[in-house]
Amino acid sequence: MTEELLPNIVAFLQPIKPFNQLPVPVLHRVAEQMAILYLGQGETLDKPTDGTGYLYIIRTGAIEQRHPDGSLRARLGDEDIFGFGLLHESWQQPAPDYSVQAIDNTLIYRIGYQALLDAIADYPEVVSQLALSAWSRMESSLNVRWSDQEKGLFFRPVGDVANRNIAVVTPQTPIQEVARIMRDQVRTSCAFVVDENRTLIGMMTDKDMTKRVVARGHDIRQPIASVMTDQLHTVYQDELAIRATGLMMQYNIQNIPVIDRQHHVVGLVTPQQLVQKNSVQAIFLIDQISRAHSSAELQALTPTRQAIFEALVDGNVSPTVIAQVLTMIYDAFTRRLTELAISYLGEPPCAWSWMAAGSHARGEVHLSSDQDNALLLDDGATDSDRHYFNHFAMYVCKGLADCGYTLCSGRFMAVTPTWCQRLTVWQNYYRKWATNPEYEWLLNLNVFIEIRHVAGDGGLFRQLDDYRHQQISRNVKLLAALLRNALRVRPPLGIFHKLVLEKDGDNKKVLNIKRAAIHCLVDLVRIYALHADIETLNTEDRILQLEDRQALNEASVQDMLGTWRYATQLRYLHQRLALSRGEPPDNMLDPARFGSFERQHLKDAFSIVSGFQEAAKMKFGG
Amino acid sequence: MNWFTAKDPLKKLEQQRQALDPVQAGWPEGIQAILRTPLPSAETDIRQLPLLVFDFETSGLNAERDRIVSMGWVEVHQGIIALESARHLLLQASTDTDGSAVALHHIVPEMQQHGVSEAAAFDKLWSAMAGKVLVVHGAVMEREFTRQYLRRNALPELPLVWLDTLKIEQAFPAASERGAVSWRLSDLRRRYRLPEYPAHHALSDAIATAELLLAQRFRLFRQQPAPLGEWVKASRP
Repeated sequence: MTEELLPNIVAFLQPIKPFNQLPVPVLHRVAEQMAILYLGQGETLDKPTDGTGYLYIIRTGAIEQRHPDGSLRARLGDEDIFGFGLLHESWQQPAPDYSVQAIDNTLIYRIGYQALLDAIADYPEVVSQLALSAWSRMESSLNVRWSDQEKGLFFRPVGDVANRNIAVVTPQTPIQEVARIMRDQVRTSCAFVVDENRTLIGMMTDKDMTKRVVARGHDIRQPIASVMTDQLHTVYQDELAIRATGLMMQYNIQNIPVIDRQHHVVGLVTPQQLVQKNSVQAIFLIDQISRAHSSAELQALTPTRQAIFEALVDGNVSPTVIAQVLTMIYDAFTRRLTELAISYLGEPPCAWSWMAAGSHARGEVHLSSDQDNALLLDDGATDSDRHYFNHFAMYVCKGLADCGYTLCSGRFMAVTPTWCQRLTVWQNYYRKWATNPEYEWLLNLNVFIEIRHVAGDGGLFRQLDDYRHQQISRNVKLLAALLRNALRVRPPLGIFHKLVLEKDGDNKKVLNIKRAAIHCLVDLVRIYALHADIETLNTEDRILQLEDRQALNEASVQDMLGTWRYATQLRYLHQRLALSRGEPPDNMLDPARFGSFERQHLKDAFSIVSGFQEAAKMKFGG
Repeated sequence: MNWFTAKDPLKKLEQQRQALDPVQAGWPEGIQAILRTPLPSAETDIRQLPLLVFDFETSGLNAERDRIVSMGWVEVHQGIIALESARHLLLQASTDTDGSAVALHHIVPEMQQHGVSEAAAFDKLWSAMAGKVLVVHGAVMEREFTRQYLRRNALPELPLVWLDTLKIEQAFPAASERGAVSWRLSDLRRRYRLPEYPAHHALSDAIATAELLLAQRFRLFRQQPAPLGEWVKASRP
């Protein structure tokens, strides 16, 4: 057939993701493989009897997908793609079954899945976006976003930035010999230890030499293997420099080995290298925070925090790392403010712990995170001591607000007297919440069910934290109450054309991604984690531990992780875009800005979340 | 909706077919295939019948003087339009020098030189028609140009089953259509809320007509069988 054929079909496909990434001749090949179906209102899509798996694209009209029990799976409209769930997915036990009925007269383009894959075989990035499972489609959509702007050093492969002037030794090399090699090798601060296959197995920095050899009087004739660091954080040379930065901030390390895909060490990256070549100095923000002399100086660092956030999102850094970096920055601001408060108010009269709660405690900070915090005081605290801490809390909370962490509208902050209490009072809170989980108390517990020590006396905090854990873990009655509460919010499945449920301040219809997906997942994962007695607070870590303990099967874990990362990534992307438009970075997504493929991902995400809610209801009995 | 009259047009066509001996020297293979295939009965649900939906673009309205510029067709099986069966043929210009084809169909003379001969185009069309019910929007032109071609080439009148989406709409107008409006393909499609397709492209029009037929089938018969006889009667010129 000639190029000009089927112009109507090609013109329709051209703007639709992921077809928009295909050149016109390939779109023609895709169009030639298509068939057109017409479903009148109320008609049901026949299951194909020829054993072929198909994908369907709605040209005009609307359809509804329903589970065998009649419950709604999704409503779809113009340009929506469906049928993935009707195909057999090899990793999944039975393919989920649902029926498709037209709720309006509907014209549908249909294409054989295999024929489509054959036609687009030369475009693997498009193939991966049309992958069968919802989570892998979501994951691939995370990877296709790249900023077109000048990327700067942080977005260059780390191999370009790394120092290739490295010292390499074997595990048997005596310590003194290693020190000599390091001295002779120009401008290097560490030695890499490799095995006979040249695989990296350890490293030794000059600091390690001081601490582990000199300070301990270790025998310098011993092999380096006896003192080297063998738990290494490495980066591949084709990864971005920003990932190395992320590792440095996350683990507070200075030297990161750069390896190739065969695990052979090829270079070293240090903060000096990154700083020498870049003016952003992102990695020094935390250092700058810890040395700021006033609340005003801290406030001046807020734009840097935003710049780092933008760099992380533009650099396609995973939402997990972005959350970790933002959490570390939040912690650093908080810690420095407590120090400044002490220098302003004088030494605290008794032991105390500044606790982060909510998403800050879980390490899930984003750019519009508000304040959830509290103060824990020693049981010996007098009324006048509490008076001191009221001022203390006022200073810190106000300082955080000045640095862009808005005050909590629910007043879940240390500055509220209820949340600035002695250990026994806090213990009473948890006992009351856990044994009598009524609604108004659940609201409090929902904020304080995760707490984390940020500054002050860690030992004091652990006393409360142990008590908290003992009260809430494997508490059947509490689990049931948490579940009831978690099921109060359902993801918006009844989406049709618009993804809309709420109105913002300007009365514009928006999708609250926090409410619609993120919170639902946090709540459900928490219930599973409490049931399995998992102590970690971070939602992603909890999911991974649930898998380790086989409390969730692999498919569920993949679905949960994929949906979680997708939803959190979506929020970061939205906040990044809002910043570039000079709008407040919030949780409110404007559905008009979504393409149909993104709408499809969202619908997939919502139906996965909804499925987990149902599963949890079965398991824990809502 | 009883449109059956005493005479069943399909029976008449079947008699006409049986009267012709397909094995005639010089007749194209496609015509022999048409004559070898018995016609479906009037009771058959059109959803069960293979359909050939097609369209001609011509240089004018007079089948004796004007010529076919392009042909496009697509097959429908079990109510599904199969785009892999879609064909679009440009026909070679003989000595046509008036600019009408260019003006109407955006087909410039150079493109026509790469086209196929009229005989080759019809041979392909006969093969596609064999064993299928024909569907056209406003079939008068296609019927006339087909008849002229057969006559000019000393070929027999063929027992073809024609459906006409325009006539069908006029025979069973929707309430909103009473009081005569435009019956143009694009206007009808708009009324059925079908998407806008580029007009005056033979294949595009054929696909557009096929979709219209599916929409008409649902409007007129819903879940009920849609007997071929009723469609044929409604389509009569």
